[in-house]
Amino acid sequence: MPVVLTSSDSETFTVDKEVAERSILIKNMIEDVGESDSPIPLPNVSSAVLKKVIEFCDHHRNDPIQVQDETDDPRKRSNDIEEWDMKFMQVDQEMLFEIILAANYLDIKTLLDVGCTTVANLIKGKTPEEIRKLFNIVNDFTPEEEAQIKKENEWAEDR
Amino acid sequence: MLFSFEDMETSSNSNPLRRVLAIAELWGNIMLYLHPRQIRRLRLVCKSFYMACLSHVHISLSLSTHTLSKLESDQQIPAELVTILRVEVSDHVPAALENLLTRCSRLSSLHIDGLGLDISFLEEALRLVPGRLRRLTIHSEGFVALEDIIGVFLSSSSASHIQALNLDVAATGLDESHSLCWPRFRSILSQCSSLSSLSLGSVKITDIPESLEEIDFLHSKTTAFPHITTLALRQCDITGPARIRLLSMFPNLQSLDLICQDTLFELANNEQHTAELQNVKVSCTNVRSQVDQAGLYRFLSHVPNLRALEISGVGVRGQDLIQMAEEWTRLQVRLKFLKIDISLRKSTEGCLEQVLRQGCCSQLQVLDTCCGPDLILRFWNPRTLRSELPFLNTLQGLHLRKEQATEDVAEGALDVLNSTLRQMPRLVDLTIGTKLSDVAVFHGLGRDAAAPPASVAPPIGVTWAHERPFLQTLTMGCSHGLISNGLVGGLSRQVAWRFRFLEEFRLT
Repeated sequence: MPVVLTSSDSETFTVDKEVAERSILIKNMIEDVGESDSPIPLPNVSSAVLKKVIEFCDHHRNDPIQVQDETDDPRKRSNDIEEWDMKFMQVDQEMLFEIILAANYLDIKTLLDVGCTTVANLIKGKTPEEIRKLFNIVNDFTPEEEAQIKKENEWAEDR
Repeated sequence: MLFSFEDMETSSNSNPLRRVLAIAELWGNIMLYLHPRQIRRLRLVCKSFYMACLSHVHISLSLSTHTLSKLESDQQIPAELVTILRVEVSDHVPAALENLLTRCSRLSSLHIDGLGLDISFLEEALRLVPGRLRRLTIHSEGFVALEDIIGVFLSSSSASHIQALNLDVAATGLDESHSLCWPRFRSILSQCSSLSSLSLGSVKITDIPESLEEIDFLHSKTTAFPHITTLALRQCDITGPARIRLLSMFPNLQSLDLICQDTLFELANNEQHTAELQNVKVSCTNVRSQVDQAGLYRFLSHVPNLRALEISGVGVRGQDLIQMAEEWTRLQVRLKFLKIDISLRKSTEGCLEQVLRQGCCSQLQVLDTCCGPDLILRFWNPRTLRSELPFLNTLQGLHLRKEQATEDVAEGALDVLNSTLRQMPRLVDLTIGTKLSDVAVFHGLGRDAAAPPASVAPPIGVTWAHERPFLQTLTMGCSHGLISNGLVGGLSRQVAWRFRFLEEFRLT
């Protein structure tokens, strides 16, 4: 049975229930309300972002629901991303962070992990100055503050 | 602290990056993928980043006499970031250390090294540490009775909430300083209600009671310690039967680390004692030992949930290894981590091949062996140009530790290794012990080494999909020729360029 989703800018999307239910938020809403023709409002997600999210959920519609493995290393590794997901994430910066926010709001763990991996991979190996350039950030530290943080880091680096 | 949280709140706006930064859970998820060094560096980007990274920055501090004097002269040490502290014992707790201990509000792990006769140091240090201490390691030089050390620990406020305790005694030959009788041992297990991990090094464990299970089932249940999930007995003096009896008291044991001089198990174990066991590490320190480890094989064959196995120094017969692997396959065991550090002759390398082809190894994530590229060659199918390693898609760590000259590697083995590495999309940790003279083995992996390094940060749309595997740690052997010709620097630069996510690189 199809499910109708409404974005923050009032655009509606009709998707298969199994696709929509990749989102735990939507799944719970459907369970709470019961099957209905009424659209499900998603006031925190714009149509452009929702379109991408649906594309992701549709591609992963048959994947098993991810379960946290408690014995795994708490530190995650950048390798754990599929080829298709990597290409899916080739979007502009604003869209990348909007997807992460939407995945968090809609409670889609796999999409959240893919988004976080992509951001982490962008950051890896870069100097603070390179990261500022990458994300268009202004350095708002005074030279004294910057020196103090560098000194703090030295305590960790040379031990 | 440099900034207040208000700075963060006022800077939040419609910018999606700022909104991600403002949600601690989200930012924390990104931090999980980063090396601690990178997280520290990230704090220098701007004030918002500084605040968002604050709770993810940890400092591990080792205080020797030298660093202690530096500490005295520099009171600006970021004590609130220190989570791990290692201190050397002196006749008293110096004022600088006392001051630091009271300021380390996030300290969770304390290592006390070189505990001689000054047990008052231990008493004082445990009095000063904050309430959130979770891990305590004490290395005794063996001049104080172990039971006195335990007495001091148990009377401290840390005893009730410590989660991991590591007691290690240096060999002195003094019986009293090593002995731990069962009543004292039991008092650790019963008084430390939060304790889940216990490690004992060079301790003589005595008077372990007979199993009461056959006498009184109910009684045996009440004497068990279900909160212990990790146990390490390193070079401990304990008889084989007593070791088995001890294990039966930990029904929820998940990780077991045994280092023995000779026999690891003298008796076959009961299956019910190993039901929860997932990680087993066994090591025999007497490399010349010819002791039959049949008890070990019987024990390992009855671990239905085994996920990680590490065997070193044990006299393993290839046929026993194969039989164990067959039994695990029958039991639906799926190993994720396998480390075999035993001297394998050519004939037994073939046995290892047979083990790795078993179903129990089909989802291996880490393979750590004392073999070289020749092992990988055994799995190469020249007709399909594919490796037949059953765990190509799941492997994240491959360690081929055999140190050998390239001339001693079988013909074509390095080329096959190169082709096989390209077929391992998830590989992040790689060790090649072979003394390489160039990086041809990495050809086609990562970035093309001939490409010029980017002078500015790449745009967001950059794709690195074709650069797999994304190595994060790399250790490789280095030939004498490379060193003597001063080519190591160039090689390091090539490797750093090739693997953009590399965090650690070592040459051996």
